[in-house]
Amino acid sequence: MLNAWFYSNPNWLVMLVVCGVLVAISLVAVLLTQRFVPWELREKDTKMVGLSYALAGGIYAIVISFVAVGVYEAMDKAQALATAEANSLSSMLFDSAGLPPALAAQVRADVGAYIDTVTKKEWPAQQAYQMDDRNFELGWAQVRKISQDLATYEPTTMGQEIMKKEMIGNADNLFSERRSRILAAGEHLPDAIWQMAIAGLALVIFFLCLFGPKSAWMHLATTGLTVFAIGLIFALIIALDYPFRGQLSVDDDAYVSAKDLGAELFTPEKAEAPAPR
Amino acid sequence: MLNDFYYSHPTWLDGLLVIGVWTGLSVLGLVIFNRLVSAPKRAKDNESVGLTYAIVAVIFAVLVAVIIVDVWETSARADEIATGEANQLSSLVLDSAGLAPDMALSVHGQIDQYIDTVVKTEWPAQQAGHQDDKTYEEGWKTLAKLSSDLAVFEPKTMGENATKAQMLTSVNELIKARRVRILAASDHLPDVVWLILIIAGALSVFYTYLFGANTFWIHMTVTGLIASTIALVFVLIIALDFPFRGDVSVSDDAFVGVKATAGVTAPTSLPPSGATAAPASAAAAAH
Repeated sequence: MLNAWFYSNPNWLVMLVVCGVLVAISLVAVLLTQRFVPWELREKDTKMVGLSYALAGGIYAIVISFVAVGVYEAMDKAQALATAEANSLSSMLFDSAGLPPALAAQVRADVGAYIDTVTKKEWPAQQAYQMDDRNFELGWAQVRKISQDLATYEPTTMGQEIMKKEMIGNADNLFSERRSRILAAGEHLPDAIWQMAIAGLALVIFFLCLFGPKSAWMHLATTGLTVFAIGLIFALIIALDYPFRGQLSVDDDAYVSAKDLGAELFTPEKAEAPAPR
Repeated sequence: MLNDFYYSHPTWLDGLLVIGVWTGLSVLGLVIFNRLVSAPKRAKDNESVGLTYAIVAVIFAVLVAVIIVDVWETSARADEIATGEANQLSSLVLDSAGLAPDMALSVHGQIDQYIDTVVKTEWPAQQAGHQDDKTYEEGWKTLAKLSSDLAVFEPKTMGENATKAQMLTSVNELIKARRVRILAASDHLPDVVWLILIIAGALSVFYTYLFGANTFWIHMTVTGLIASTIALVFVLIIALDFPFRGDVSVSDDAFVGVKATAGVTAPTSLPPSGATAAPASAAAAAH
């Protein structure tokens, strides 16, 4: 529910809402503290609170930063998986020149149809996080067919034998990269880590409430600014999490490019374009 | 014993317990310390305590960060290892379409059996932390049979020759991936690292005792918050450690998916001759 909202709205709006809600909560906590815990009491121990806060704040800052780095790396990995899958498709298009013409045409057509399935059906499903198997069945059937056509193909020359080995290797890679991409599309930060991040933020807010600065508005301002900074990191983690969802996500450009290149080089009238392999 | 408890309960419950015990002991320690050394006496040195505490805080924060990154990366790597093993299984199933039908049937049967062994025997054992050799014996036997069947298979055509070469590569990669997965399943943070973490955590809490606060309940709150933050980090490390155990662990989804996606056909349902690896419905759907 909350995720659906996060990933269907622009990042700037999500950032504003996340920071706004967190800052509001922290300010309410400070106002309640100011009301119920006398300033004089807090002011006397401000130095001790501040020095201890250095440890708690430092640990929290480092942990939350590494969570952000972790989701950033996961997104990079997802991008690399999608590019590798598109590269395998491209290799199949190029290598098909070494197959008998009928099989080559069949493989190119199947690869084109598969890319259409990925870009028109699977990508929107991944964006909407509709990860049930039904959305991916057609694509699986298509790669199975490509693989099966190549596996059952009987070469008649040594060149074709080498080409068959190369192409079934490519088909295996395509299948593996597809699985890895679908698994990556379903991955996200575990709930346990979100729980830690939120519990840690609550502790930081608690700490901030214990300070006793001379003016109440300064207390509100420093608390609000600190929590706003943490809110920015939260917004960044949300934007980078679920690598195939939202404004900041892995796109299907690599597949589109592989298909365009295939269409450019291997359409029937341009079939003679690539050099014999 | 303690690990069995952690990884058989939800992370939030582990978190509550670890934070509760660690924080409770820390605050109890402060109460005792406060009786032994009076607050006004300590208050005189608040400044020097604070300045030296900064160094301890930095050391502890960096230590914790390095350990969290390490367990996080180990957990991510374990996921990749399991997916890699499942991918080799898919490759074998797909490529078997280029073999003679009886050989293809045998490969499907053995992979079907291997996946069942991994999902039904090995995964629950890994989740429970039972890493003895007996758990993995059946899987190794199945792989040994698959590998030797492929090795002695004599191709009769150039197509079968190419398929055999590709499948031998895949089966060797599968064996490597399996060994790496089994080793990764027993991977965890060494005890000495835990010992250092706990001592450093206790030291960081003890440092807060040295402050002389004017209001004791504020002192208790500060100590409690510091202890809770440290315990929270411990919980995160526990959750990420042992990559195949607990709430945050590598799942067997990749293996389960192989049967459906690669079209593993159970031996009883594979057509006797002229068979192809993919189910007819799959090929039809492709059109």
